[in-house]
Amino acid sequence: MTGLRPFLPLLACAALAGAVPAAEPEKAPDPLGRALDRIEAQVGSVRSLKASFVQEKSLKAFRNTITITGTICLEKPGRVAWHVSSPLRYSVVITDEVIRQWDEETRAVHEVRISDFPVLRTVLDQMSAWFTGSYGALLGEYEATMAQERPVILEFRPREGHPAGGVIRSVTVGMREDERYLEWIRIVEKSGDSTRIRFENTVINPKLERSDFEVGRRD
Amino acid sequence: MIEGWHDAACRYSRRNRGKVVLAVAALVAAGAAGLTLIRFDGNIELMLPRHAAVLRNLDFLRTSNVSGKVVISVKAASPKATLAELLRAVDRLARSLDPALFPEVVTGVSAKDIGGRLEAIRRLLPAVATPDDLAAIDGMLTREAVAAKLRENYRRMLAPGGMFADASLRSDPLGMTSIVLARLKAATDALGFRVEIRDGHFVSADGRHALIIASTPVAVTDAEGSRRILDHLESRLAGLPEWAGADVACGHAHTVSNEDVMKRDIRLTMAIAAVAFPVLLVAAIGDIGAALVFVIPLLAIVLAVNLAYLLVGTLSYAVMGMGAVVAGISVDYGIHVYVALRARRGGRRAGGRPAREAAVREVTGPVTASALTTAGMFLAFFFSRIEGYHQMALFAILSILLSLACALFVLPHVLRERRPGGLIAAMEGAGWSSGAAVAGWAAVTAALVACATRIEFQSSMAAIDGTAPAILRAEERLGEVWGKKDLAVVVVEAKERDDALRVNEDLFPRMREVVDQRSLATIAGLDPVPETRRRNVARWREFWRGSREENLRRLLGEEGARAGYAEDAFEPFLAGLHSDPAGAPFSELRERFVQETPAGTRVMSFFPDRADLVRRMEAAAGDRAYVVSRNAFADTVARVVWEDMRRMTAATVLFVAGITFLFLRNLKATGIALVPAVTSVAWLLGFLALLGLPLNVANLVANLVVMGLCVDYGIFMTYRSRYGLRTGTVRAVTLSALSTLVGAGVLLFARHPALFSIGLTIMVGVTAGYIASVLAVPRLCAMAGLDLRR
Repeated sequence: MTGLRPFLPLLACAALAGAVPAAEPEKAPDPLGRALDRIEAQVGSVRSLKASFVQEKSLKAFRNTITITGTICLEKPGRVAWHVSSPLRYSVVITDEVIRQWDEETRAVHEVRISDFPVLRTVLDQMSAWFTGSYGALLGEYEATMAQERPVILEFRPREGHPAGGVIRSVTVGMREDERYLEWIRIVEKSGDSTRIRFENTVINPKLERSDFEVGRRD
Repeated sequence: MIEGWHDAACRYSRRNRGKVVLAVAALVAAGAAGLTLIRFDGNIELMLPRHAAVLRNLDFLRTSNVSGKVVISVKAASPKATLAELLRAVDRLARSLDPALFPEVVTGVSAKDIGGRLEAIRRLLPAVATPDDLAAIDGMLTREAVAAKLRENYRRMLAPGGMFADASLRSDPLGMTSIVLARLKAATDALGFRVEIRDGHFVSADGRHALIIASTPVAVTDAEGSRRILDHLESRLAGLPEWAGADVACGHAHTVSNEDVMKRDIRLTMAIAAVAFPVLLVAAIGDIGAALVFVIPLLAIVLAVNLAYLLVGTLSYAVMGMGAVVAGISVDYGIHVYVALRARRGGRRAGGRPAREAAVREVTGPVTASALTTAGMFLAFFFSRIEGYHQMALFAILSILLSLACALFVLPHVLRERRPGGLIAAMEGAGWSSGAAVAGWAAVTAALVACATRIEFQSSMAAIDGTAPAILRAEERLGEVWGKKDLAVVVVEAKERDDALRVNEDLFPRMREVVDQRSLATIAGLDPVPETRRRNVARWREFWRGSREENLRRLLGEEGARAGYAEDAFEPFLAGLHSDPAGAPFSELRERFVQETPAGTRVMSFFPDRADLVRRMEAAAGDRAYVVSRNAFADTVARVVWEDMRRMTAATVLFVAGITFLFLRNLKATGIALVPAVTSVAWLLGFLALLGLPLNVANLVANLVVMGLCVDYGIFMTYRSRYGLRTGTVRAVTLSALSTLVGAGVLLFARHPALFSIGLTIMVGVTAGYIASVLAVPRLCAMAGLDLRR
């Protein structure tokens, strides 16, 4: 469970009960709306995906920028595999019910049932929305602006009172020319830390193997 | 003596016939009018024993904010419905609930200001850390542990979720906050549900159900209030979209369902009895005029209900449920008088009295003995600790005495001369009682007694719970979806809030010895009382004084550098070691565990409701707290009721045998008169064992009633033999048994398991008692030299 510590702080909030009205989805203004509609239509045709990624994390806690490379496999409706090849081998596979992770240092597979940690679902839903391009559904929680029209660059800022606003300052998404998937995503946190992920060699709708969703996979 | 009173009363009523009939009619009319003013009490507490543990549990259920919860599970039944649509429907439903009935409605978790809350939880640690916690933290401060932790944190960065983790990494690199988080997670499990949080809502693992938890001030035992909230819920649920469905779980549904079933059964049984009795009149007696006999118990019941209400101020629905049974019992007196009058019809005078009066005089003794033994049987009900039984006894005794009076002093003046007819007309002379009949009766009885040794006793009150199956199915579905756990509660009560919290804190270590911390949901360890807080903070500061902090700073610097951390990466953490501790950042959570009551403050801790854990927790709590357990509560009620049954049975045997002896004044005759009663018990237990049905609280009570009835048959048949009665005793006993069977038989149509059980018991018991009285008693009297007719 150790690799899932990031989610632990959020579990604390399972203690706090309150009625939260589900926000009605907001209608995005044009041309942003048109762009989102186009993206939703394109991304909607993506059933699976495989891509290399380069992630750069600029964190106050670390001396230097951390560069992480690896592969992401995605299969709708809810399977994600994140295989890191450097700086050390690490895998996490997320399905609808469980999260499984492995790393080359401990060499142990840790598994957690999402239902045992209710707030995990909230985090995973957010991740899923960013990685699958379902940006229309995020408009209830984020204000969106179009930073560039071609290729599309969208900037999202958490709305007032939204939980993510406690942590995130902005999320910027750069789409590919064909708008079928992300080319890059950049997250800037309130603390000033930032993460940028660039996707390369993206294959849309590949036939994914079983081994793509196994932890401990070697690239 | 009784005959003397009867003579005086007969003289008066003969001379003032009109006035007597008018007076009775006026009384009955007043009674009928009074019925419309009587408010019946649906409170089920009346049918529970007044035992200290039971009352305490009931008071908790009534006043706690635990039992007043209504759980609504809304389902997206159509696969086309999205989660967003489901959650919108849930929010609309939650907003539509009347705040007067549901002042608090919870649909999920507010995750606002996560960062601030996390920081507050981290700052809480000095205020809640125990010596054990500090020992655990000490174990985190070695070079190996620090290096491993920093490396683990680094690996976290590699995960997709790591993008949100940096804040806690700098403020809590060693993960000390997990100490508080573990307690918080255990505390949240007090909800007892397996939920996921989506978009701030409670959602099931399959994503097709969402949960609403509504609190209501209406007590579960308040039938009227329960109906109000259920009606309100029904109207609101009707507004859900077509593709949505809902299941509701709450104690109020059980209360209303039991009352509805009981009311429906009362209406049905009375309606059937209203048809069945006239049919009995025509088929068995051949005289529709005998309907007057069956009117007597109805009139007596009308008057008895009013009198009982005046005396006790409230009457339970369960009392009225026994109305058909009491009617069947108290009609016997009128039957005996009627049959005696028919047997001695004609204007011949005997001993200076009209033949009719003489006939009634002959049966006055046994009829009165019979009424008094039955009344004595109901008197035994006052030995029970159940208030409902006292009401039942008072109502029944009044009905019986009024029926007796009407049968002896009113009925003879309103019945016309008729020849006896019908199926039972020829029964009197039939010589059914013979040696072979006695042998047959003895053999069957012995065989059933042998079977009776296998009888099982079902102590669970669920056996007599009339809750509709639909409600139980809804609760099952809800349990399957949400994994509802049964939780028991440790309750600490004190006048002052801090006193209650202090006792709870003191008990916390003992509670943890009984139940693993992950299964113990308590505010202890999260929200300490001021002096405990001060003590913990002082201990925390002492812990970090001296070399410990310096050592840690050095280790973090060295190992951090090795793992690529910045030089000042952990400054927020190190500075935070000395900051003022925060107050508990979850007031909403506190409300789940701390409740203000009229008597003071109640602090609750929750754990799995298992019998072994409940016992150990009760021992751990001692006299400083008490444990409320739904499962143990049922066992306690059953045990107390069983103790009551033993007392009531002993009292019944004493009263019935004593009164019988007073009238018969002969031990052998008394023994023979009790044979039908003993037979009824033996046959009942034997048949239940043969049918695989257990003995339960309901049929134990009915068994007492059967004993009282069957001893009446024994008294009459013994009297007949001993004093050579020629008043149609066999006919009367047969008609009495038939009428009781009709009165009890209608209960077989009842849905409520308690009423059904009572009906079955009386059917079997009365049949057995009748057979013994007609087949065995005359022969036994002859064998004992007590048969005057020989």
